[in-house]
Amino acid sequence: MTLSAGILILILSPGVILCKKRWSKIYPILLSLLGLIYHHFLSVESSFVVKFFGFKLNLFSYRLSGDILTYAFLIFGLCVYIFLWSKEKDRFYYMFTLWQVGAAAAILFVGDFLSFFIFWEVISLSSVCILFREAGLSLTGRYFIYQMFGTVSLLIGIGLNYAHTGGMDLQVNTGQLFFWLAIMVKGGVIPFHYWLTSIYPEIRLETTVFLSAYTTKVGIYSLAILLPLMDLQIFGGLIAVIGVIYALKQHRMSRLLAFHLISQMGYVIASINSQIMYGQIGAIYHLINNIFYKGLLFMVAALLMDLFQTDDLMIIRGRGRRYLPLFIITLIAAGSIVGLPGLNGFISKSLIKKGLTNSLTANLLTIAGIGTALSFIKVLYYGFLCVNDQKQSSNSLRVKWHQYVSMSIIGLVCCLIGLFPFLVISRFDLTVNLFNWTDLWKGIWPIILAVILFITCFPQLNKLILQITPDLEGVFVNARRIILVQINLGLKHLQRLHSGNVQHYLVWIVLTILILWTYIAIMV
Amino acid sequence: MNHILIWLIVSPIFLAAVTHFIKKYLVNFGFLIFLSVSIVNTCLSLLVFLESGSDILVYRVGNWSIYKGIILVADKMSLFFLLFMQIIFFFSLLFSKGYVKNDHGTFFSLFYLLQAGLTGMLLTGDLFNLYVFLEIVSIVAYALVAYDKTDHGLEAGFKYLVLGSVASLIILWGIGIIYATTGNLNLAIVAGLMQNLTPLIKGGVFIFFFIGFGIKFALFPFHPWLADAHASAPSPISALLSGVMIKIQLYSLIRIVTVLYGIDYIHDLKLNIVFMSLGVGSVLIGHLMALKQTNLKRMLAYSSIAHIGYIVIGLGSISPQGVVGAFYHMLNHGVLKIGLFYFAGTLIYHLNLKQIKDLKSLFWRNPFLSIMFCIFALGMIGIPPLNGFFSKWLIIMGVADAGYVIPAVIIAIGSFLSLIYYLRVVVIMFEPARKLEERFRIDPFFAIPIGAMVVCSILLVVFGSQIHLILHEIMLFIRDNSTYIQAVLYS
Repeated sequence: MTLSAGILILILSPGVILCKKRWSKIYPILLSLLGLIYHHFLSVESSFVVKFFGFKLNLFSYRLSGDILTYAFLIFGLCVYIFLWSKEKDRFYYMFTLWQVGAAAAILFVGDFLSFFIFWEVISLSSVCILFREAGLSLTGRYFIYQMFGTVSLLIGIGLNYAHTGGMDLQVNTGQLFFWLAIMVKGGVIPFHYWLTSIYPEIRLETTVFLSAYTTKVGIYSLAILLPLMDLQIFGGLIAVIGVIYALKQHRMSRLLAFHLISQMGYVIASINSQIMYGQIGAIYHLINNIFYKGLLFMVAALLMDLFQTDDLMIIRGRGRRYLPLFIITLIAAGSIVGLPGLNGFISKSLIKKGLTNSLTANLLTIAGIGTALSFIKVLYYGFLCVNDQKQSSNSLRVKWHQYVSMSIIGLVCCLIGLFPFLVISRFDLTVNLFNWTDLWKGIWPIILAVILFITCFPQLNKLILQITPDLEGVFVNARRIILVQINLGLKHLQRLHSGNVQHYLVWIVLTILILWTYIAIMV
Repeated sequence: MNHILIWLIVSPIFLAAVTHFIKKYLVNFGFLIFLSVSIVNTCLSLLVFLESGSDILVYRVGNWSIYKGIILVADKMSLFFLLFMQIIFFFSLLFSKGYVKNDHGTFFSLFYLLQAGLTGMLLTGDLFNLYVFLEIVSIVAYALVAYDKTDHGLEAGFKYLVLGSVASLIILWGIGIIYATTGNLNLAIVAGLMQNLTPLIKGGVFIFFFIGFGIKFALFPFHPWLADAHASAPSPISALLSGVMIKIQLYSLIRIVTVLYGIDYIHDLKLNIVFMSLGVGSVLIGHLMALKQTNLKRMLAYSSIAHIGYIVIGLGSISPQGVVGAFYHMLNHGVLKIGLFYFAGTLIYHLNLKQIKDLKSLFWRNPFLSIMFCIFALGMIGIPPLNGFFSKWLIIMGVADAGYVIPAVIIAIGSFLSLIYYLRVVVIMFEPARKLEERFRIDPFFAIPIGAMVVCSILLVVFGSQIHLILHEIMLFIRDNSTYIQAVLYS
């Protein structure tokens, strides 16, 4: 009987409450490190099954993809805690984030629906607790309602499945639609993304680092576990394109990154259920990459916010140029996300494209690739490169050493698994050489095209995008308003029925007696 | 050990009778006496529960023959609920001590009569005494609802009286028909004579019991009295009515149906569809009506109607998990709802806050209370790892396993609806304070019962597997009525 690293972290997480101020910062770092070491030495053959409420809880059922993702989750967690060293965060914040890390790592190995449901809810609940402290009640409430919608869908799906199979094994035989709905809502995938794009810009960016790495990734990873036979290639391709189009409209880093998060998930969705091994491995690889480079980009955004009190690129306008190390780190993260050869994004995107069987999806992903490159050229240009004519006030704020350390580790991981992909791929018993001219060119040409487009016609392109894309959030707000009005009308009618008139209630009783008697008379 | 059963009924009746005397002449020791009796009764209930094992205890009052006399029957199901009830009454006694001021004995007299009536309902082995205890409980409940003598309280009490009397009358018809056809009212004896009834009369009697008790435990569409009554009663009584009384009335129906009719009858006549339909109606109406409430206690009362729906759906499924889940949900809902009514009562007592909007910025004035509310609310919504989640999970899986997909879906949707109305309260409660709000402290008589309910809900999860085993045994027991009948007949 062996606990997974995630459960170990969950069990030990309340310990942070007992720590004094400085130790409350050290404790999560040590716990992530402990989890990492523990996970490394965990036996593949180990299992952990307990009986609870008459159900068998399979808390550890080894999965190779889960194994690799656990490394990513824990390394990233470690880096974020180092990044947060100088931030004023209380002990509860650390406990809730540890729940997030622990539950995300634990869910990767569960083998039954009940454990899966519980850990997913722990992730949601910890997100709610974190948001509650950061974003205020209104946003947290909205987030909670969205998450609960996903929870209810998942619960219905599990119920249907249980009715069909009579078992709790993590294998979906029926009710796929409800599982899909739950994953889409919890993963923040278009058209269920509203919570993601409306909440991320409103919270502190270092918190977004957490949410972006765990909540949505677990959602998308669930696709591979729960719905392995669902072909989502075109759907994924469309999400990648729509996400990137909306990202191009944004000039606030937080919103831009939120839409890119959705867009990159489109890549994973397109290939995670691929019947070709390249596609499956590419999707897991991309999920891991996304944890690192997206986390790194959110860290950069958090630092820009700290330095300039804004994450609006049009206000920053090149003021980041004074921070060369930060620029280099951003370059690595941007290079990774656009799939620049030599960085990790290139490997995963190449594998994903090799795994596609649908040419339309391949084209959609290429368009998304061009859009992504264009978007991050914009980030680099307006964040660090463009010349700002306005007189700049002297800024005494500096990036802290531990923030550089943390970002450098992540940047290094991006380079390392980009240059030596066999570190990950070999674990899947796959050998592939992506450093050949054909694949390199496939990776480079969208970036070159994006550079040309940026130089020649970016303002016109931006204007065109603004004109042709509908205001998705406006549609959501209007739809919500209409639904609420209708529900309110229905409730008022219901309330009129409960007027307090005893005679009415007596009539209900008599009617029920008559109906039931008729029913029994028929049945006997 | 059998004598303990009669003691558990007689001791609260005796206390009810002497409360005025105690209040008048033993002012300083009065509460200590109440507390001691409550502790003794709780310990005795625990002792009987542990000692009886899987035996059925039968106590013939006055040693009369079971054909003529009164008998008390205690099996695992009744003893389990008895223990639960005693624990809840103990904490309600503490809460009442803090809540009820200037009482000259009337409140505690009614309180003990309610306890005696409910204990009697749990232990009685014949229909006549069941009806007597049911009437004691009902009359005491009418009086307690109107105890505050406010306009709302009197009106609610009157409505409850009218509908409750109709329910009693309907139950009495059922009992009357049984006596007329079988010549006996002992459950075990009548069970063997049920074949004397024609199918139509047998069905009619079932309907009388189902609707009569349905009104008593506020099943849809007989539910409207509950919101008024529970909202108007003093909060410790609201807690008892919602958390214990309606559950024991449901227990009585389960006892009658399982002993007299057997599970097969439900199955053969497809009466589970009736259970399911009315259960689904309760869930939807309860939650939807709760959404529109502005008074906190009314909102909680409507939520109780919804949760009765969950329990009835679980029982109606007749699947092992559904029934176990329903029993488990009775406990979970009891503990959580009692905690919520204690919360409401604490606010009424200290600040006279009744409306949801009045809870604005409560967190800054009393964080303990606000956090307790959040725990109870999360449990009611069914968020893991709180106890409410596990019982809902069992019910959903049991109901789905039995092939009733729509009720399972409705239960899941019900959780979503409950999130909305509980979240509304939380949002108001945690609203930032505009000015420096004055903090208020709450008496230990309020804090201890509230904290105890949180501890109970945690224990219900921690010892979940053990409780599951007990409930599973109870489920197996009620599926086979021959054990009960034989134990009584050969006593």
